[in-house]
Formats: sequence, C-alpha cells, structure tokens
Amino acid sequence: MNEDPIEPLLRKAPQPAPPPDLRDTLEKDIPPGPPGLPAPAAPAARPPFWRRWLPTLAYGCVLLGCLAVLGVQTVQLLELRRERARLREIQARIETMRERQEALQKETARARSLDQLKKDEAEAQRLRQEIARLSELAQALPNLRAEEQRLQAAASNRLAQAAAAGALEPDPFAEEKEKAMRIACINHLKHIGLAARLYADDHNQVFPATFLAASNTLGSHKILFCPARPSGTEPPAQWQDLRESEVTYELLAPGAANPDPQAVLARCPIHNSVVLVDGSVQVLPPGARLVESNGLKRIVWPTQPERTP
Amino acid sequence: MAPDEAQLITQAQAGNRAAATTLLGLHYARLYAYLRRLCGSDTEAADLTQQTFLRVWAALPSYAARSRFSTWAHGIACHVFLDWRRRQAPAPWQPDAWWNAQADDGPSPFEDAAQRDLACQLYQEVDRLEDDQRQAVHLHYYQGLSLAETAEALGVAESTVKHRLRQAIARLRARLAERAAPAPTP
Repeated sequence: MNEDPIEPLLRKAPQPAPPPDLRDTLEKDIPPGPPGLPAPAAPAARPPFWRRWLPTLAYGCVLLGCLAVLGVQTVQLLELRRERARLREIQARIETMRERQEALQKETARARSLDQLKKDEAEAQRLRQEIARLSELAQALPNLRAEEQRLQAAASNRLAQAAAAGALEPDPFAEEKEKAMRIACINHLKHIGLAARLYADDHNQVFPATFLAASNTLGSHKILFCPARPSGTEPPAQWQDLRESEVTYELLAPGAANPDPQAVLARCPIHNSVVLVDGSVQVLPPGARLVESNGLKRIVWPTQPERTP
Repeated sequence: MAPDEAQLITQAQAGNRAAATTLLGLHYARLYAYLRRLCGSDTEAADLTQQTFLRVWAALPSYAARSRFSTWAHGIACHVFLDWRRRQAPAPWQPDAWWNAQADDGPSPFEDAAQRDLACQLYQEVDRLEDDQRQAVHLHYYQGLSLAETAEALGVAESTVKHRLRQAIARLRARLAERAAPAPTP
C-alpha cells in the first residue's frame, strides 16, 4: 500500500474554501442564552365545552342508568313477593283439599268393604242352597244308576235282534271309494310308463329290467303300490327298504329293447289296467286278454280279431 | 481535545455567546469543506453547514466530551447530509467541476501535471463510490479523522470502517486501472 499513490493523493485532497459571508450567517444563528433550553410553552388552548363536561356527563349517565336498573329490579322484587304470598295461600288450600280427599277415600273404602261383605253373605246363602240341592241329587243317584243299567240292557237286546234279522245296511260310499282308487291306480300306471320311457331314453331305448332299476326316474316308490292293495302290504318308508317282490304291479316288458309302442309295459292285477309302451293306460274290459308275441304282451280286445305283429 | 476548546465548550454550554462564536470559527470551515465535497454544490453546502450548526447548538448541552468536539460535529454533519440526501430526488452522477478547477489552476500540492490529472480522476471516482464507502473515505482521508473517530462519527464499529475503506481503495484502484488502459482499437 505504501507504493500505491491512491492513499497519499486522497490525504492531499484540496480543501474547499467557505463563502466569505457564511461565518456571519452562522454567527447570527447562535442562540442568545444557554443553548438547548426549551421555548416557553404556549398556554394550552381551552378544550371545548363537551370535552370539559364529558367525565361529569358520563358519570351522570352511568348513575342514572344504575338508578333505572335499581328501580326495575325493586319492582320485580315486589312482584315476586306478591306472587310468593299467593302461592303460599294456594298451597294451604291444597293441603286442606288433600286432607278432605284422604277422608273421602277412607269412607269410600269402608263402603266398598261393606258391599263386599254383603256380596259374600249372598254368595254364602246361594252356596248353601246349592249344597242342599246337590244333597237331594245324591240321594237320588242309586235310582238313576239302576235306570241306566236297565236302559243299556234294553238297547243291547234291540241291537242283537236287529243283527239277527240282517237289517244292517251296506256302506253307501263304497262305490265312490272304489272309483277313486281305480283312478289313482291309473295315475300310478301313467307315472310308471313315463318313468320307463325316460329310462329308455337314457339307456339307448332299452326299458328297465325291474322297477327298482328305474328308481332314478320314478318320483316316489309309493306309486309302485296300487291304492286298492290288500291290507297289510303297506309301502316301506324309504327306497332302500323296498323289495321287488313287494310291488303290486307286474312288469311285462322287462329289459325290452326298442319295443312296439302297443306292447304292454306293466299291469295292475287288481284293476286289470295296463300301461303300454307309448305311455297310454288302458282299462281292460271283461273279455279282453293279453297275448304274448315275440316276448312282449299285447291286448286282444273282445270284438277285434287277434292282431298279428 | 485542547484545554482551550474544552473551556470554550463549557462556556458555550453555559450560554457564553463569545465562546460559541470562537468554537464556530474553529470548525465551520472544515465542516463546510466536508459537506461541500459530499453534496457538490456551494449553496447546498452553505445551507447544510447552517443546519449542522443549528443542531450543534441545540444538542450542545448533551455533549459529554466522550469524543472530540470535531468528531461529534462531523457525526451531526453526516446525519444532516443523509437527511438532505433522502429528501433529494436521485439524480444521475455528474463529475464535479470543482475538482477539475482544483486540478487545473492555482497553487496545488501536486508535483506535476500527471499527478494532478491522476488526482482529478481519483476524486471523481470517489464521488462515484457507494454512500457508505464514500462517507468513510471523506471522513478518514479528506477530513483527516482517525479510524476510531470515523467510526464514532458514522455510528459504526471500527472494523466496519476498515472494511469499507479497504473495499473503497480496491474499487478506486480498479477503476483507475480501467481508465489508464488504452482504448481497444476497432
């Protein structure tokens, strides 16, 4: 830095000379007294009227407000006192009324108990009379039993006489019952024909060899029993308990392969009804018979000549 | 601080007008020169000097002699100049013709014309420095205040003044080198 001319040049900078009249000007500005003294304060301006009286007015307003609130509260207090006195009177009246009501309830209860006693007395009187009547009936009981035995003996005699004379009438609904059972049998045969047809469709047109073989296509094993079957041949509860020999229908085309539609598939020996391979059910009239041909049975009607296959 | 100056200050604080006048005579030329170099105008410098002394008289009772009166007055002048500067609209920099006048004629401390020309360029470049650096250069180099006094007048730490001066010298050196370099041929 010593060889650098900048700093010496800066220190040798020329000094500007002040104007000649500057000193006089500056001397005039020197204060006459001790410097820095604050100038005497001007008298403060009088604040406006509202500002001077604002505290008093505010205080007065607050005081008036308090007085108004105090007055309102005093009036409310007096009202509440009056209300309290009135409520006390009402309470005293309610007490009196409650006492009267209790006395009245006691009187009512006493009257009710009196009525109950009267009713009990009447009931006792009625029971006494009933006991007397029953006593009379008990005394007459041996006579009534003797009369009953006598009447039973007379009725037995009359029934025995009627049986001996054969005057008992047949059941008037027997014919209708028989008709209903025949219709049900025809329905069973239709189901059997349909089930056999479904079986044949699934087995290359070969019909079932036994009823049990078509168990999958039969709806229920109970349709293998004719409704008019003799008593004591009830169907078992489940398929597993069924045996082929218990079935009341006869399978006349067992294991037939693609048979003639007019061939007989099954027969009911009770009603002499048959179901054909085509699914139709026929009730064979008297004189009709079944003829075997090529291992299959066919119907021979009484008026028709025997058909040859 | 000279003992006479201390007595003068005490008397001026007590309201002695003659002492205040003597104090004024001791310092007003230096303060005027300081403000003249900063603001670049004779008229403005006179006004600023007047404002400075008005503030000096107003603040004189609070002067506690913790620093030299000259330093204290330079601090006030510095603030007066900054206030004036804030009120002024920012104007583009123009070289001060006074420096040229100082370099051209009259008695000069410079040895030869080359040095005078260099000084003229240097003073113009000082005026183009940033305010902080320019204030430090003016107070320390132009006004001859020490580093501590410069820091006291500016209200900053002494290390800050050193830093600003170092930056200012570096920048001035760079700019003078730019000026001295030959212009590129087209």
